[in-house]
Amino acid sequence: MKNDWEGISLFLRLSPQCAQAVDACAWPVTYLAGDAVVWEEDECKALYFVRSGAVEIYRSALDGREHTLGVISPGQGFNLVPVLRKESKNPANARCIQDTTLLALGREDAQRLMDRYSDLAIALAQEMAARLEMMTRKAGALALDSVRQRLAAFLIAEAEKGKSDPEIYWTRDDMARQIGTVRDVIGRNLREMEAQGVLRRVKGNIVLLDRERLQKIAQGSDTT
Amino acid sequence: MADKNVPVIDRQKCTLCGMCVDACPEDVLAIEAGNLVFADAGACTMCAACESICPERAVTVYYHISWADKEE
Repeated sequence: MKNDWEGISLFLRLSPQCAQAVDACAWPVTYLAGDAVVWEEDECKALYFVRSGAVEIYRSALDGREHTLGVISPGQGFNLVPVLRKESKNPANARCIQDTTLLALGREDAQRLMDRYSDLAIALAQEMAARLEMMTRKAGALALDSVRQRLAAFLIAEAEKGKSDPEIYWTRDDMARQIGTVRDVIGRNLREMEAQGVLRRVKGNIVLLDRERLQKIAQGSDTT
Repeated sequence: MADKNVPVIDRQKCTLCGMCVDACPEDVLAIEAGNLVFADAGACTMCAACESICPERAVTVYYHISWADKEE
């Protein structure tokens, strides 16, 4: 193999012949933190797999507000929609939130290989299904949960990440984009949770103290 | 990479208005010789008062999120 596919689960599910063909068409690309990878509505050139680092997928409004749809960690892919739907526009923006290495697979190559290797089509559909499940949960949370619930769920999810996941430093703006609110509301909720002993802020860390109560807040069963 | 143990100042955006200096409860920030500086970085608690008050959004506070029982 000319590329390093370690940790990219989709690739590991491919037959040897298919994996060889995908590897021959793919190429590595590196970005610095803050760099844009794709812009929404631009012509889709490729789908991507994250080797290292992290990529934020987001949509932006005309007034400049942004909402984060997800953060793609090592092993996961993004920009799958225009490949599977055979439409040519990127559906969302993607930018690196750390120095990042990606493996890119050209859109036309991906479509040609899907026609030839059903295991690639199935693997991409499975990856897409996982993303759809994540988006369904997110849409439900935005519609049904309070900001306090969404913030608690976000804090738990972030703190649960393992040592192999990228270590991400969050601003209050970042957190606001993740859960669909604004910076000041994040600050107010963090202060309230700190006053209640659920967490404490120490230097550059938000340290979560009370797992049980935080989970109750996330579930909506602690409204104090 | 910028030090994440103190707020990060974007010096292109900072107009030296001094609002963050007045807002800081620990007197961490100061304007000296035409620059916004950390007069006492060790005293910074990352309360984000400077970030909240900055009209130019020139100050950013970064947090890492972890469980207390996983801290090393």
